[in-house]
Amino acid sequence: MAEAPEPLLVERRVETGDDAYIDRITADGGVWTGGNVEATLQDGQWRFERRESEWQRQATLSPDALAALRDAVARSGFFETAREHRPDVAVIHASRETWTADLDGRRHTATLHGRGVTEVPSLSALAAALERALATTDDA
Amino acid sequence: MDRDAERARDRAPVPPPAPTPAPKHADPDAAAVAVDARQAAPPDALMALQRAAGNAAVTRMLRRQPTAAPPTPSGGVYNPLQESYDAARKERDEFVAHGKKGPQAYNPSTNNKANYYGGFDVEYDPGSGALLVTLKGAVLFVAGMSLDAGGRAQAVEPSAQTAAAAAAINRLPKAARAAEVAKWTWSSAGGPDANDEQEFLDGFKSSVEAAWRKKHPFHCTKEYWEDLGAETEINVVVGKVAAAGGKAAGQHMLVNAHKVVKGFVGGAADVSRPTGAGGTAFDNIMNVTSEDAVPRKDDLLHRDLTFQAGKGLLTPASVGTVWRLAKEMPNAKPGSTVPVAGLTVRVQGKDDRQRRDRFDAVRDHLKQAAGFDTSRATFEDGGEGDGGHIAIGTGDAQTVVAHESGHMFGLDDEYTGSGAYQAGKKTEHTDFAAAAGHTGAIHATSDSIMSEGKEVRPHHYVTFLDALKQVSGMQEWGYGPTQPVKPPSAAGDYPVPGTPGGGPQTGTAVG
Repeated sequence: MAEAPEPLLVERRVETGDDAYIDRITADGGVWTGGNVEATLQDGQWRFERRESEWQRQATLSPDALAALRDAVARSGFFETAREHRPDVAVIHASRETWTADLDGRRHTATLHGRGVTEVPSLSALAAALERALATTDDA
Repeated sequence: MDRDAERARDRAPVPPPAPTPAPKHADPDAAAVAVDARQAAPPDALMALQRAAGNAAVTRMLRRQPTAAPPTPSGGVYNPLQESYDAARKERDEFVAHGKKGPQAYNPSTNNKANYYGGFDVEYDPGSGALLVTLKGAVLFVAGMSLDAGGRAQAVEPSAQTAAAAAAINRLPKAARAAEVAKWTWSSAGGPDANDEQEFLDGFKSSVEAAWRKKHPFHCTKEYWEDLGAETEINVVVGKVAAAGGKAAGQHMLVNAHKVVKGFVGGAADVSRPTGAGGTAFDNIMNVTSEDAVPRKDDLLHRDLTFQAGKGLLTPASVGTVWRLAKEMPNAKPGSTVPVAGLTVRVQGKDDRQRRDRFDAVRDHLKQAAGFDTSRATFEDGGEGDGGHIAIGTGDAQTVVAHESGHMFGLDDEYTGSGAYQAGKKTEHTDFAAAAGHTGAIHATSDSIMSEGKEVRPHHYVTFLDALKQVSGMQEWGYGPTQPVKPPSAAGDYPVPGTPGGGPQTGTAVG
């Protein structure tokens, strides 16, 4: 895996087996995607491939969007959440979601096992904040 | 092997035992009478009977403790095995005449304490020898992607691949996104793929049934019942429900079928039982995608190789490929009966010698990486060039719903990963299969259906065997086709005194 861009603000890593897709926001507002899966749409046709892990800078958050995201991360309760969240039941071969955030010198990582099965409020809040931030980079 | 023909032959009426000719030098009647008066049974009488009928017959006779000497058939000599044969055949015929056993629910957690998922119905028809395994599911068709109020694609199907696809859609202009998200929607909800729900239901049923039916026959191991067999038939009954609450109590699983685009590769697939090991056979949830009812397209059992131009050496990237593979494919542990997969290594080169050198290089790396037993690797001539290819086992692609249904049949994954899935670690069905005679099931990359292929091995039938025991009310079942039942004979198998080891030797009555 290529070295991840730093300094980090927040990252969501979705993993299914050995496959990973990552959204990463750096402290300067950089919007990055990474991982070893690639989904491309060309002339209406989808292609799904594995690739060497790499990072691509997709956009830059505006200062307002970046500030809103930092505020949402701080208020999400993420830094107080447990490092591991497992579903109430054992799930054979589920995807997992790993969140990492770095704010004001604190870095924390939490993994949600059983993505789609397990709900953790602080991680849901973080996901909503990330989506709001990414939405500000949309093309019209 | 044509098992149907074989079973028909084996099920042919078994003739009653022929009158046994009188032994020339022994009188089993006299011996039997003497044995019946057990407290006074002289050693000489026992010896005489052992010589005439064998040790096993004497043991059985002693256990029966008859109160009087059995009658001697008119026109023949008393055969000490005749009575047990007749009783066993009568009991067997009555068992068959009583007709089908079941159906009843089978919960894999009942006898395998490591299990916490799965369930199916089982029925056994001793007349036809059919062991019918029925898996019933309520299918909820769910969009794999949605469009939120802000016009952004949101992945619903939880895999890394769908997350990547959502990001790709969100890089499109807003006006173009709805059409792409629609491709992740079932036709009943406005998606463009006509008849996709019925295709999924048909594909689910046919792929699971074809993968699992009639792989390994069973036969009854009860004495004189060995011509009673069981051949596994699979019946998958899946139907659409409008909501999760629509699942009927008698359905074993709720199937959340996420719609993905045609040609989708990857996706999350899992089975869980929210009530865990203490739950019932009807509490399961299976998550799959619309592309999981057709064979996978991601070539899990294939690896490409590249050799350094003009040399016998692998490129550094291919060395990594070979080392990773070797570590995922441990050798079978000593004494294991569950096989491990082999490799077919297709090698290119300028001539035969270079191709052989390159094959040796691959074998060396396999061995260096993890002590891989190189006899598991087979050479295949790939012609001229600098490429190579490794096929794992059969190399045949798996259909995901057939693998996931293996969980419904009570089996764990066998592929490799981290933690409990590390290569070489035992699975949640390893001990249960070992108790049935199939030892050494491990996590490993292989062509096994519970790993990354489609091969249903004997140990994968261990829950069907257990279900057969449950529904038939008999523990005496084992692997293998039916066996002809031979009428008893006065000639028996007994130890011949003085033979090396004193082990049983086949002999005839001697005086």
